[in-house]
Amino acid sequence: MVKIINIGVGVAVLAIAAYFFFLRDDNRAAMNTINERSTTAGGVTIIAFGDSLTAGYGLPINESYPAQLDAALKAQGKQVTVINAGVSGETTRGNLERAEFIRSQNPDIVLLGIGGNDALRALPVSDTKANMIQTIETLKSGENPPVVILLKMQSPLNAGLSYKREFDAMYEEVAESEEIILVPFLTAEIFLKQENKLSDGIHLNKVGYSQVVQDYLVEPVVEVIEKIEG
Amino acid sequence: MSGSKLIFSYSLRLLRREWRRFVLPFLSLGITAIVMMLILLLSSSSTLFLDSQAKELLGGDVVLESTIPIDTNDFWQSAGVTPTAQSDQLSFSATLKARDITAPFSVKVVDDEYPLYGDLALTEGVFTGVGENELYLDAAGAERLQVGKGDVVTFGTKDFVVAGIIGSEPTALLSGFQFLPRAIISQAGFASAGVDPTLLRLEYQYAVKLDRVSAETIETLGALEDASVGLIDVDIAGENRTGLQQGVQIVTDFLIVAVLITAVLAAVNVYASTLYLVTVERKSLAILLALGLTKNRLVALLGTAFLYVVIGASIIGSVLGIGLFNFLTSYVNATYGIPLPAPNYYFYSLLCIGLILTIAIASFVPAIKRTLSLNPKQILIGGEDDNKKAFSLSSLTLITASTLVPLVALSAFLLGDIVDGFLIIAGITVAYVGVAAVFTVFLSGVYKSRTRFPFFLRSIISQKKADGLLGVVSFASLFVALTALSTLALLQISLERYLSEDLSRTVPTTYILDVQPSQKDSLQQAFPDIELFSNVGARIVAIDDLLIQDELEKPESSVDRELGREFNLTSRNTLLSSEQISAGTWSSGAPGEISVDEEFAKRANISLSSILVFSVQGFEVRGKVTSLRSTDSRSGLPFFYFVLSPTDLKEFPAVYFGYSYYDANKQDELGRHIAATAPNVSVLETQAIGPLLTKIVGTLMVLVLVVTLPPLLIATLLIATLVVSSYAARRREGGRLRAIGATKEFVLKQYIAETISLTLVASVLAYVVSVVAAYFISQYFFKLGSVTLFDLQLVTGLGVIVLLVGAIGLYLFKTDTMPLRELLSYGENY
Repeated sequence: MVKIINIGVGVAVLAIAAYFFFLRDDNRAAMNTINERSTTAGGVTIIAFGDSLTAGYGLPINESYPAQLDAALKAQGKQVTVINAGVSGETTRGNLERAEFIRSQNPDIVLLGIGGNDALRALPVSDTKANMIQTIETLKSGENPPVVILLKMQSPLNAGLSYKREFDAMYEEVAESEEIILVPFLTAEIFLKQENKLSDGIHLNKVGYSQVVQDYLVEPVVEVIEKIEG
Repeated sequence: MSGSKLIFSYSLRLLRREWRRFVLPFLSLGITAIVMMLILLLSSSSTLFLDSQAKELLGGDVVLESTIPIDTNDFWQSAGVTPTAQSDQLSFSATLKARDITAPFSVKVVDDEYPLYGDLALTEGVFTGVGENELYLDAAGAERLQVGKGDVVTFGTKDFVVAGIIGSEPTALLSGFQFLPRAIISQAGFASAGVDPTLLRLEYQYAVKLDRVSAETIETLGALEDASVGLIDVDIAGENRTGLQQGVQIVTDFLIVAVLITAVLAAVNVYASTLYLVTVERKSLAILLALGLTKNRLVALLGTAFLYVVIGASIIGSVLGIGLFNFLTSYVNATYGIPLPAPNYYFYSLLCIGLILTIAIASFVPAIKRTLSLNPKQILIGGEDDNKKAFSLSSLTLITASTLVPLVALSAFLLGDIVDGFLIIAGITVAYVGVAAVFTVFLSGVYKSRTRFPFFLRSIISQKKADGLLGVVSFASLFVALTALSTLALLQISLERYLSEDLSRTVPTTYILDVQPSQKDSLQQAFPDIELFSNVGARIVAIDDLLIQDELEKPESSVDRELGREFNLTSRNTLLSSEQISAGTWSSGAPGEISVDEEFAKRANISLSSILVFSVQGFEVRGKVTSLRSTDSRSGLPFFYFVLSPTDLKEFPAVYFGYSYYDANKQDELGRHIAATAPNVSVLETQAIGPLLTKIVGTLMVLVLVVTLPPLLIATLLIATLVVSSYAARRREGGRLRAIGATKEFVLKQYIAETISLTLVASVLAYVVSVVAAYFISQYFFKLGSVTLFDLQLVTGLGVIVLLVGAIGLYLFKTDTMPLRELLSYGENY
C-alpha cells in the first residue's frame, strides 16, 4: 500500500515538475522574443512619452529628441536612460490608453509631449484637456510615481485663432491644476525657421530637436535628476 | 493590248467569271477590316479618354505640390517647358463658422483658371468661378454648418456668401479621401479674410496645361523633383496610374493585344485564302502556263485580281467599322453617360487599309510561290503531287516569317516599343513554326510505320503526308486560330473577373482608423463583421547582425534610409485574401515568428531565417523570419510589411485599423455609434465614389466584350476557311478512292475522322499553349493579381468548334455530287 502511495506521490511530483517545466519553457520562449529594456544600472530612467514629435517622425531614431537628450545628459555626467516611447499619429486619446503601460515601467521621469495631433484634427479642446489630465493622473498613480514634465505644444492656425488661443492656454491650465512642470517645446523661435523643419512643414529635423533639447529640456531635466538623486 | 492592260482586263474578267471563289477571301478580309478598324478606333478612343480623364483627375497635365511657395517661372524654365495655362491653388484646413456652429474644413483657395480640366459640378446651376465674397461648400460641409445656398459663412474676419453646393470636383477620384468637408474660396477672398497665411499649414499646388508632355519632359521633371530633396512633388497626368485608372489602362492594353491577335488571324486568313484559291484554280492556272503565259505574268494576274478583293474588302470593312464604332460610342454614352472621344477617322482608315494591304501582300507572296513552282505537264496529267515534296521546314520558316513581318511593325507601333513588338511576333512565329515542325516530324514518323495501321487510318496518314505544305500550314493555322481564340477568351475572363471583383468588390466601403484598445470590444460587439487589425509602432533595430539605426548615422552607409523610419507591426494568425505565402510557412502561432512582405524583404536584404530586432516603446522585440508574403496592393485590403505572432505584441498597447463592406444605411449606423461612443475614431467612406466606379467599370466591361467578340468571330471564320480549303485539296483524293471501289460513305467517314481528329489535337495543343500565353500576358503585361486558367465554357466552346468543323465537312461532302469523271480528269471544277 505504501509502495502504491509512494509511486502515486512520485508520479504527481513528476507531473507537477513537468507542468512547471513546460510552463516555464513557454514563458522562456516568450521572453526570448521580448527583451527587458536595458537601463543604466542605478541610473535614472526617463520615458519620453508622446506622438511623432517624440518618435522622431521622418528621422533615424538617433536623431529624435529623446536620443539627443540622452546623449546631452550623459555628456553632463548623468547616469540616465532616456527611452523613446513615441508613437506617430497618436492623439491624446491614444496616449491615455497607453498611460498605464508607461506607468507600469516605473520610470523616474516622464516627459509628456502630447496634443499635436488633436490640434491638427481640430478635436474639441475640452476633450483633449480631459484626456491629458487623465493621462497625467494615471502616470502619477501608485507608489513612487514619476516626475511628469509636460512639454508645451502649440496649435497651428488651421482651426482658427480662437481654437489656437484655447488650445495653447490649455497646457498652462493643465500644468497648474496637476501641479507638474511645464517646459516649452514647440516655440515660434524654433518652429518658424525653415531650416529647423522637415519638408512636411510639421515636424522638426535633427537641428530643430537639438535646439529644443539644448534650449528647453536639458536644464529642467537635470534639475529634476539632481532632486531625485538627492 | 499592252501587258499591263491585259493583266488588268483579264484579272477583272477572272474576278467576274470566278467571283464565287473570291467570296470567302472577300468576307474574311472584310470582317478583318471591320474588326481591325473597330479595335483601332476603340483603342485610340480609350487612350484619348484615359488621357483626358487623367488630366481631369490630376487637375492639369503636370501639377507641382509643395509645402513652400515655388518660383514656378524658374521651375518651368529649368524643365524646358512653356505652360499654355497655369492655375495656382492653396490648400489648408481651417474652421468655418455659420451662426453659432463651427466645423473644421479642408479649404481650397483657387484662381480664375480653376479648374484647368473638367468641370466643377454643382448640385444647382453652373460653376463660373469664385467671387471675392463667395464660397462653395460640399454637401457634407453644408450639412455640418446647417447652411444652404445664399447663407453666410465666416472664415477669419470675413463673411462669405455660399454661392453653391459642390456636387463633385473633377479631381475627386484622385485627391483621395478627405477627413474634412471641402470649401472653395477665391484668392481675393482669402487675402481679405484677415488670416495670417504664414501661420497656416499651407499646401501649394501649381497645375499647368502643356501642349505636349514628351518622354524627355517627364525625365527632366523627375530629375527636378529628385533635386528638390522632397520639397516638391511632381505629378504628371497618366503616369503611375493606380486603382480605377489602372483598370482603364489594362483595358487599353487588352485592346492592343486584341488588335495583334486579330492581325495575326488576318495574316493567316489571307494566307489560307490565297492557298485555297491557288489550290482550286491550279488546273486553270496550269492551262494558262501551258498556253505560254509567263510565271511572272501569272503572279501579276492573280495578284491584281486579289488586289481588287483586298482593296474592296478593306474599304468596305473600314466604313462599316467606323459605323459600328459610332453605334457603340452612342450606346456607351446613352447608357453610361461617358462620351468616348472620336479619334482621327481618316488616319485610322488609311492605317487600316494599309495594314490589310500589307498583310495581304506579305501573305500572298509566299502562297503564290506555289504557283510559280507549278509544272503544267504534271498538273494536267495528274502528277502534281511531286512538287509538294519540295517543301522543307526552312521554307516554312521563311514563308511564315515573311507573312508576319508587317505584324512586327504593327505591334511595335501599338506597343510603342520595337523590341516588345518584335518579341511578341517572334514568339508567335516560333509557336507557329514549332507546331508545324512537330506536326511534320510526327507525320513522317507515322507515315514510315503506316503499314501497322488498318487501311482506314493508313489512308488518312498517306493523304495527310501527300498534302505536304498545305497540310502542315492548315494544321499550324488551325492551331494559331484556336490558340488566339483560347488566349483571348482566357484573358477576357481574367479581365472581367478583375474588373467586376478585384477592382470594385474587394475595395472596402468603409475604413475605420484609430480604434483604441478600450473601444475595440464595444465596437466589435455592435459591428461584429468589421475586421480589425492591431497596429504597434516600432523601429527596426537590427537585421541579422546589422545595426540599422547606427548604420544610418554613417554618411557612407549603403543601407536604405527608409529602414530607419517607424513601421506598423501587426499580429494575427490568419492570411488575408489579398496575401499569398511566397516562401517559408505561415505562422504556426508560436512566439518569435515573423512574416515579411516579399518586396520589402528584397529591398531590406531580409531572407527566410533572418533575425529581426525591433524597438517597441523602449523594448526590444526579437523574432525570426519564417515566411515571406506577396500582397495584392490593389485589393484595398490592409497592407503590412511585418506580421508577428500575437504573443509577441500582446504586452504592448495597440491602436486598431479596420474595414468593412457596408451599405449606406449601415454606414450611417456606424457613424452614429462612433459619434456617440468613440469620437476620436475616424471613418473613411469610399461609397461616395461607388456609383461612378460602377458606371466606369460597366463601360469597361462592355468595351472588353465588344472587342473580344469580333476576333472570336474571325477565328471561327478562319477555321471554316481552312476546312473548306482542306476539303478542296482532299476532294481529288476522294475521287481516286472511289475509283478503286471505295463507297461514298467510306470516303465521307475518312474525311470527317481526319478533320475532327486534327481539330481535336489542335484544340488540345492550343488550349495548353493559350494557358501559358494567358498566364504570361496577365502577369507581366496586364499585371493582374489572379489569372483564370481553366474555364468550362471555353472548353465547351472548343468542343463545339470541333463539332462545327465536322459539320462543315459533312455539309460540304453531302452537297457535293463528286462526279468521278470530272474529279479525275482535266475538267475538275469545284
